Amino acid sequence: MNSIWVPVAVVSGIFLLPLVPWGRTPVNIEKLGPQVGQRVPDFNLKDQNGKPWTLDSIMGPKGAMLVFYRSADW
Amino acid sequence: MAAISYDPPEILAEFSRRRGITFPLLSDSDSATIKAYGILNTVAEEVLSSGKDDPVVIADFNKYASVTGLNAASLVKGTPYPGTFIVDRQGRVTSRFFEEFYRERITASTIMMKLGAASAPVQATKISAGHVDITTYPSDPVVAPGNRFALAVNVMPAQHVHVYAPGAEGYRTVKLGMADQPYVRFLPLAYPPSEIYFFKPLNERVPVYQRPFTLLQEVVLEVSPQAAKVLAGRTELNLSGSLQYQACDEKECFNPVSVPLSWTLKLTPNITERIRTSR
Repeated sequence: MNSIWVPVAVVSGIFLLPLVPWGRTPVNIEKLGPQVGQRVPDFNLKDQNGKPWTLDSIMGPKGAMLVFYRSADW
Repeated sequence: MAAISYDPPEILAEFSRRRGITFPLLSDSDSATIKAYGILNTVAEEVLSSGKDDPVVIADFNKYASVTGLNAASLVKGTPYPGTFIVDRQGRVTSRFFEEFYRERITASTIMMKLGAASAPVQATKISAGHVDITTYPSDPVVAPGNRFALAVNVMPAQHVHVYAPGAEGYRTVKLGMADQPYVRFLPLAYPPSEIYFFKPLNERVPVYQRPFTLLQEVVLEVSPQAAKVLAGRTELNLSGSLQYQACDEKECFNPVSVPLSWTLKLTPNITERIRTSR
């Protein structure tokens, strides 16, 4: 019995090994960043006219909309 | 409202000048805020380093960084997964909108409409149909390939009139049907909550709409190379559909009707010109 199973294990090991260090699960963007009910981090960033803004200063009477986009350049 | 990207201030200055943007475009040139928000697109870094042989990484790169060309990976490096957070005055997220596919993006006005924060524009189309008034308008007057926008159908039943809502058995319920056309994808429509109407003569309780309600049909204008080719020479996008409903008042029911609807939007190509010309 042993003489049959040992080679099978070795062979399957060769195929499985390379997958282990690479394996990562696909990105799930819904799980990234602050979720509904959570507080977003503050920031201090300059706008196109050099004016600095924080989360507080961007706030309107009902809150704010923060749009993250790829680039204005390309 | 603020829009955040990794572009340096001079790029944002030129971009807002060219496009007449007055709301703040914030420069997060070292991506520190993007990182603090936990939405940094790391797929490019992975492709540039150890992940270039991992099929999962490659698949993610193609999905979330669909830029082609030699320097695609270095352009994407430092960018966020594009998305929008709506926060209350305490900075707590009340809703968030993140897109699966990089080049398909929900428009800001669609988000406002979904949140019920937008009102009908002046150029809305008004139709007086039997027993209801219908007002239709698009979220955006101008759309580009890759835009996810919305068509609004506001229905106002006349006094004492109700129309049947989804779930009303034995009646023709309200239904918005859209005419298919290539490279235009209609997303499943979520009908707004209805109320229960008690019809005494039949001792019947049925879901109806008696007050004004709005159907929001979300639409994606596809961005594939084939779509781009077909849409290239066009300056208008015409969408059509019909609203079916059956109206009743306290005494009688009227014949089911189907009202044709149409929307004409301006079509603009995707802006591909870069701001940074020399460097």
